[in-house]
Amino acid sequence: MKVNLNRGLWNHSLKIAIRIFRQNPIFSGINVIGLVLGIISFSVLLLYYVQETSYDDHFPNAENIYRITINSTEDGSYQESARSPIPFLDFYHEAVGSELVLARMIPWPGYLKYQANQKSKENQFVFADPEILDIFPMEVRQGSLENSLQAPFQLIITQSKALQYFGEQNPIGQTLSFDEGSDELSFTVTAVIEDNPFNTHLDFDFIASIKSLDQFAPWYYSWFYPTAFLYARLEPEANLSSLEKVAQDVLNTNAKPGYLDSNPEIVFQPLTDIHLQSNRQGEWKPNNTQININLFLLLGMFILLIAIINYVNLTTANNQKRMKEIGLKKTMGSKRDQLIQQFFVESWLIIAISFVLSVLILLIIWDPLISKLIDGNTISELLVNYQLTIWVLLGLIVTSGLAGFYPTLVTIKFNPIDAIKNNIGKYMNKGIQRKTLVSTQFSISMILILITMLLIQQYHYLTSKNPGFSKDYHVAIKMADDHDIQHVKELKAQLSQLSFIQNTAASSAILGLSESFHGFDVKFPDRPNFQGIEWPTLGVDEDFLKTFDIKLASGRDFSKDYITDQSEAFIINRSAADHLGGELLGENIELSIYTGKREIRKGKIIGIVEDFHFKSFYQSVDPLVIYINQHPNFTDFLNIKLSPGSMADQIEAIESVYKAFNTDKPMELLFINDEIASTYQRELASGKIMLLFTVLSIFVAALGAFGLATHSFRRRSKEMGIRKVLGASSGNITLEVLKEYLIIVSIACISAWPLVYYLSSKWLDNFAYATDFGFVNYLIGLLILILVIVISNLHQLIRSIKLNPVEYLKDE
Amino acid sequence: MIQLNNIDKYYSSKFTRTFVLKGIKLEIKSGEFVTIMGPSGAGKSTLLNIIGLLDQPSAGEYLFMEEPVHHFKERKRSELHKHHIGFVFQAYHLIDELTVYENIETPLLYKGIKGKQRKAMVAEILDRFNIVAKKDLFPEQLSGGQQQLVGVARAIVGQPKLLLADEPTGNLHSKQGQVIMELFKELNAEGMTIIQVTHSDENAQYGSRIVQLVDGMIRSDQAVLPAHPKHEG
Repeated sequence: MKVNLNRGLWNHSLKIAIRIFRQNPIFSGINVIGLVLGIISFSVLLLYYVQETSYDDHFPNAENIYRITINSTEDGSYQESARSPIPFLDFYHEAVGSELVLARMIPWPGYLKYQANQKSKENQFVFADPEILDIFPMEVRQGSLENSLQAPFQLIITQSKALQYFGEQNPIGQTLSFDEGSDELSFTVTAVIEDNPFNTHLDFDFIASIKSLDQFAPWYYSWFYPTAFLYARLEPEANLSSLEKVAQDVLNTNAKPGYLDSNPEIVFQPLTDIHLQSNRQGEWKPNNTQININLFLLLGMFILLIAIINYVNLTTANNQKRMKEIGLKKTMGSKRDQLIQQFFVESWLIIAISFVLSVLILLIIWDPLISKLIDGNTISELLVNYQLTIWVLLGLIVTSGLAGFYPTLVTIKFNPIDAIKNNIGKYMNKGIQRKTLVSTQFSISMILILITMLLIQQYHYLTSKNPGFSKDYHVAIKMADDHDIQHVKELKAQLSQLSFIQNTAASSAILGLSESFHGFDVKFPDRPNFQGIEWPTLGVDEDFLKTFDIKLASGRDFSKDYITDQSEAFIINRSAADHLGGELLGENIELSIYTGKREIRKGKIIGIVEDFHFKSFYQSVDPLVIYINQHPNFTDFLNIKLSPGSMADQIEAIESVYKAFNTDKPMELLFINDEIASTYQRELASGKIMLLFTVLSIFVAALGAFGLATHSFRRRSKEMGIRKVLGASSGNITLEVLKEYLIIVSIACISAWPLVYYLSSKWLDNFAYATDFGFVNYLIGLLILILVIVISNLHQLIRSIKLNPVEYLKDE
Repeated sequence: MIQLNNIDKYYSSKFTRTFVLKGIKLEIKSGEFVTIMGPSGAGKSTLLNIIGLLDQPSAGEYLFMEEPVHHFKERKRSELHKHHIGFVFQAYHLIDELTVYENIETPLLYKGIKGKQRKAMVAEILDRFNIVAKKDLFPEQLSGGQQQLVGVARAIVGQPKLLLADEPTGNLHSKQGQVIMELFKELNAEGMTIIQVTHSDENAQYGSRIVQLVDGMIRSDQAVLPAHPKHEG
């Protein structure tokens, strides 16, 4: 298309465009607000998508780095672990040597001495092989990485931790004390590195040399526990499948026999896949999913689409008012491309204004709001990535450019004679394109409303469903050290003095926290078919069932009256009983517990409890074996049942008791409710983002509906006048106005409902326990949509009802 | 049936009042066929709108069927209007999106008349006006005369006591106009009260009384002389 680049004409076009803009503040305002919201939402969600897909790809040779993980199957129970056994590396290294670089990272949370007598819990403390620095090169701020992890008790710390522990002092060569039971280990800082960027799956603040472990915890070199994250960097030309095969062979030939019972299978995970595709046991931190981020990207596109539809609808509707101008210009010899130019200038003026505003608003709100919302980077970090910025800008410019075309093309089609006579009915009444576009908007809104409702309802369901144990007034003190563990009975006694404490019980795991349950081999000597099943276990004291109000189905609770309970009594849950079948009370049972060595406990089943959800509602209730534990290895928590009333006061009192009990460590308190809720954090986070952007998208759609209602009033005011003269009441008029939406809303329902039905049943399949997202919810969604339509039409509705027919029916 | 006492209609701007109607006194009995005449801007349409309860007087009393409608609330006025008054316009004012049938049916819908009876009433009117064949057409497919016929049909389908017509033949050529006026005469003979506004002396002769309006005031109010009849038939 040849556009006449006449300077005078451009000025003329621009002048008219600005006047049109000023004459129609409502239309222009709605257009700009809608587009700004659309552009901002889209940019945020696109950047979120880019951010989530960028995980770990900043490491050089990221495409050649793999995490070596283990899938295991033991007696039908399948497990995917993110970690591998520690000795594996050495055998594998011997076998493949030069073809890859291997390194382990072993998380080892502990207490670091902080100033004189303070200790602070550091969860992101790891021991690692020096090769880790080859695989994941790190930016050094102070010191040198050269030989920084070779010798025992060398330590690399991150910039922010350096600041926390050493302030302005130079940390290099200084020491930090690590609390390891009776020992205090002194680590020398060899280097300070940059903090981890947010977009890596790695999560550590301290890296200590692995050789240190040989010095103070040589037992770490075990096939069973602890486990390590194992990374491998392959040479570019290396053959992955043959390396995997070698790894499997190495494992099968060298692993301890007991280890192979679980049929371990080696899996190489590409580094950059971890954040979006891995959901294994013992991940560094919870990962995201591809579906989740796709959903958000789609959401962003939807909002932009709604905004563009608004823009197109409003602009074409508004241009119809100006048919006289167009007709006159045509008859005065304005050429087609001159007219096109006029309308392009107008279309793009609005787009340009919206665009600039969006960018400004984004720059302002990014750091305080958005970067927190999407748990991502700051604007300066984004701008550094100029390629990304350019792509986003380019995408938006192209999209909005295309959006500018359509109204122009529709407008210049007007026939000049119709136009001069202002015979706009011909072009207005059909309005099929517009209705199609509006139907699309409302279909999208309906989908978003329903999906948001689904997410929120499922989250609510998961967090409020009765798990089979009481949890609302329950907290747990995490045992900080050997002192706590050895004297847990004293702590119990001291706490029992507090009047508001109803009960206390030690346990090896936190209810609701899947990962805290240890799995051990269970045998039933009377039942040869069920030899050696690995089941989750829970080591407790005699007060546990009472503390959590767990119901017994049959048999009895543990009791201090039977001294033999401490070693010979077992309680299993109904799921375990169902698994075995038959009358189980009094049957023999054997449990192998690993307490530094394998210890076999033989005893009898004394009780069966009703199933309670000791893991999340993602899963159905697994079989569970409960036993009395007195071994320090599994005395990890002291659960406390409080009384209704001020939590703060009660916790303060507990804290002061603990302070006197353990003078060394700060108290680490867990709220059972919070721990359970944290399992569903992903649902909550997704729900929040969905809710925010759904509200935005509905607002944008409502803006459009408002604009169209204004337009529709202009078109139908005379008709409404006639109807009033014919005796239409306010109710009749209201119905008449809203009738226009009947088809639109029907289309929205017909297109959105089956899709949402499909998606929701698919998504809810992920949960063993899912909310019932029934027809009522769809009706509520419909009601919300109708409400939005009524509200956005309210102004015009009142105008229509109040309209004085005499004014609109003057015969000229 | 209609009694107007000192009706004023004016528009106030800051310091002045512009009178459209001033001191109108008019009584119209049931069964009359009154023509309101006068130059453009004399206030004819405004008077008609006030009588038709579409507009309110600024001052004065209006008794419609012995009821003081100037005291009535909007809702009650519109009830009266809906049940007793039919309107015919110069520009027909049919609803473009509705067929002939639907246009005629609309006032019955608003009166709340039930399906069967409604159908019968519309059918009767269509039949009477000889437009049964056109019932499924849209207004734009009809000639002006036909459109006005539909306009009249729509105005009387609800059997109002009072028919108001604002220049009903203004947009029609004379032959079409005559058809409409003959129809009016017939309706009047059946007992319907009719008030029309017109410029045409010829049309005025169809009525029984002529009210001359000039500058918002009644200049004359005379019966049409039966001695001077138009050729009928």
